[in-house]
Amino acid sequence: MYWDKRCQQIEKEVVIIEKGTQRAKTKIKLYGTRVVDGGIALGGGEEDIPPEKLRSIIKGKGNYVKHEIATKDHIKVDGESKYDINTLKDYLTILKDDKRVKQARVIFSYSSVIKRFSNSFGANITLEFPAVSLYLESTVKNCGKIETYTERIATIGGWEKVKKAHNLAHSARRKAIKLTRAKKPPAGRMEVVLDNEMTGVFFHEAVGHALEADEIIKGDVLSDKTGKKIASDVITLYSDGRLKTNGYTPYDDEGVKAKRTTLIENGFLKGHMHSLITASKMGAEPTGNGRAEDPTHFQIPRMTNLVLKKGDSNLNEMIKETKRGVYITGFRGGVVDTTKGQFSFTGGIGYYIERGEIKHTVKMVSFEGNILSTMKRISLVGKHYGGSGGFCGKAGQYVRVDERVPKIKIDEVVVGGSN
Amino acid sequence: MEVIEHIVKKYNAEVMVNEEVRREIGWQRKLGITENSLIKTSTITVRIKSAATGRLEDWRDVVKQAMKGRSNRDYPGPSKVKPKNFYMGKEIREEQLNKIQETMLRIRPLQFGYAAHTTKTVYANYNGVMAEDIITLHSISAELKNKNYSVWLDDSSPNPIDVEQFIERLKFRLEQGKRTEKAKTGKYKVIITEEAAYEILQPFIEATHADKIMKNKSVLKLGSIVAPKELTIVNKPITKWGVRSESFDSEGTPTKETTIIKNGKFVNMLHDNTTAKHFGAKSTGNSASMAEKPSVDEQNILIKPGSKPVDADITVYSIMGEHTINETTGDFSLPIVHAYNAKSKKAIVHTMISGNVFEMVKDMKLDNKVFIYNGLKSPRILTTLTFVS
Repeated sequence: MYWDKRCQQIEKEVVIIEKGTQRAKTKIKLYGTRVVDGGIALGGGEEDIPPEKLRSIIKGKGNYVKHEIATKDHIKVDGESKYDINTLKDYLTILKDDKRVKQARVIFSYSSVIKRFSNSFGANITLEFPAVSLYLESTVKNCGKIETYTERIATIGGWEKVKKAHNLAHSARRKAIKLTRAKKPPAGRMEVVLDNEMTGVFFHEAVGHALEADEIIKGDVLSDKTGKKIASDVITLYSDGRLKTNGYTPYDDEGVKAKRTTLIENGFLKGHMHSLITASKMGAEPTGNGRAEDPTHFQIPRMTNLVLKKGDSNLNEMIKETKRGVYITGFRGGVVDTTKGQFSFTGGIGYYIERGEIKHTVKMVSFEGNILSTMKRISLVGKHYGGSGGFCGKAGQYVRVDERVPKIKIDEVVVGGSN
Repeated sequence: MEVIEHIVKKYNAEVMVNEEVRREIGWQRKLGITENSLIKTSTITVRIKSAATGRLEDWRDVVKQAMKGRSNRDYPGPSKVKPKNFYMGKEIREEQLNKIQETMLRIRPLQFGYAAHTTKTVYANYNGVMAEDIITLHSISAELKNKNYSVWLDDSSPNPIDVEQFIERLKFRLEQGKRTEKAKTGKYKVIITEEAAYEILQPFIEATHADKIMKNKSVLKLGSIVAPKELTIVNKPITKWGVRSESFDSEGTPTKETTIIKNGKFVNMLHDNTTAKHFGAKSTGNSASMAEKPSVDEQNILIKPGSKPVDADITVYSIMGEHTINETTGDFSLPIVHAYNAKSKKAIVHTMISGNVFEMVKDMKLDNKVFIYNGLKSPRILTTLTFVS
């Protein structure tokens, strides 16, 4: 009988500044005990449950954990825990610095995370790290139109990661104003150039989820494609939980040490992201991607940090190469159906391109496509890294993720604009 | 209870205690493993100078944190009116869960899950208000696939879900997907089901929240005509079908039925105590959060049916990416998950719908039957949407 035990304590402070200042503190400690033996049982919450208590609710027989993880380690990441309320108020002043701004809001949160893991093989791992997020939101009324734009940072680390975000506050205000003058893009098939943030989300949604091994086992569009060409030659993609960005996972929630996993190499599908159970099922090595939102949820294959190998194009070259399309920046949201192989994204603000030149600003730029055909239509990869951390939802669980990616150009997607 | 009374009296506080029991089963066909979980949590939230949340057993620390803050938002204070205690939903027994699993496995889904949550919420404040809600909710999800098409479906209810009926709905959609087509780009008259309406209409409902209006983030004006005459929308905090039912909100205000849109006219905003003070109104019992981000939210939404049936060749059953809808302007471009063209007898694939929620509402016609989905009771809706492929 295999068992593992997890404990997670998060102390979090949230500060919201708009008309006044609100602060809220949360300190939650949760336990989870998982038993894997012919089936899987999870018990916990506020109580630390002994594994023997859970054995009786499992039905069936079979060894589903075939890798002996017995690592002992303690990792601590430091970050500034004290924040400066006056800097946050400065951000609000910048966000409101135009008479057309009707509402502005700053949301800052600082979390101190402690995670402990042990298992029946003798593993004993403690992780301690801080995490911050900053949301800068500006709502503008101009020419009878209301628009809101939000800039965000989410990363591992402390106050030092967000204390110089003045330019981001300016950007949120300016983009909200721009959006009130923007048109919808024309609808239909066209080229797109994606900024770093959108490229990150594109790889996360369009291909990342489909390479999580539970989706592969379930039978998604990439299930039978290992070793086959699934993307253009310019695409090499890794998963790497070691990077100290928002998806930092030096050990996953099954005690597996992070490493760089090649997912796609020069367009060929090379690997998947595994939990212990999917690795055992597929006869693969664990990759450090068995993650859970907290100990009251099962560990399942999840992304950590995705890294796309750099190319040699710059933004101007990508725009010049575009006959008719949109340069999409920022990010509102994205989704994927890995079984059907269908994805969709919406950007924050876009720029309509004709014959290699930006013509005007466009808003609500959504595009959708099929994973297999779109990955083969990526023609250019940029040479500068960027991206921004965020949170990913799957099976009712939210985890921190990040992408380190350059810009890309895709030669054809369906843009859902005005008709 | 003693702890709660002690905190309220000694610190002039508001207190909310949530005790939750979550029982879940899950199954993935190709992994061949059944997952069982039983999770119990208890948290306490205390609002004094600021708000703090923690484990019930750590309540002393929580009180200390709530005393430390210096929040200066314009909060007029909690309710002075005592709500009634409220109990809803049926808990699930082990043998019922086993039966559900057995029934679901018969159709060989790619995956399925069933969960029953029971939450006990106790609220008390320094005005002498104290009340409790105990609510059980059931939820189910499953994915079914044939050679060329897959269907994912979910549902929730205060009572154990009729699994046979759920399976029929899954099979019906899979059957519709036997043949597929891309829709040509253009405008189409379509029927929107309650499931798609639940997602697409969210920004419209949110635009009636008083905090959105107070912050200039809503395009709707109270007293104006925002929809056809036959549209009436009511917020129903307590109903047999509602999965978001509650007898008090997070300021302890007793919830009450509020007509938001009456015959196409925006007649009432949804309020918490802060927005009620701002607009010189009374709270409607729609305060949504005590701690992190106080805001206004609806409970269950009833859209009253029209007077006669509506029809169109195309029915849009579900879409995805609803969180990408621009909640301020209402602009959206969303991929269709499941839609069916009754004329060509094909499911529509690789197609997006594009439009504006507020414009769409102005063009709506309502069927005379209602259906329930996740806290929305709505007739099917006839409207015009742009398809992009």
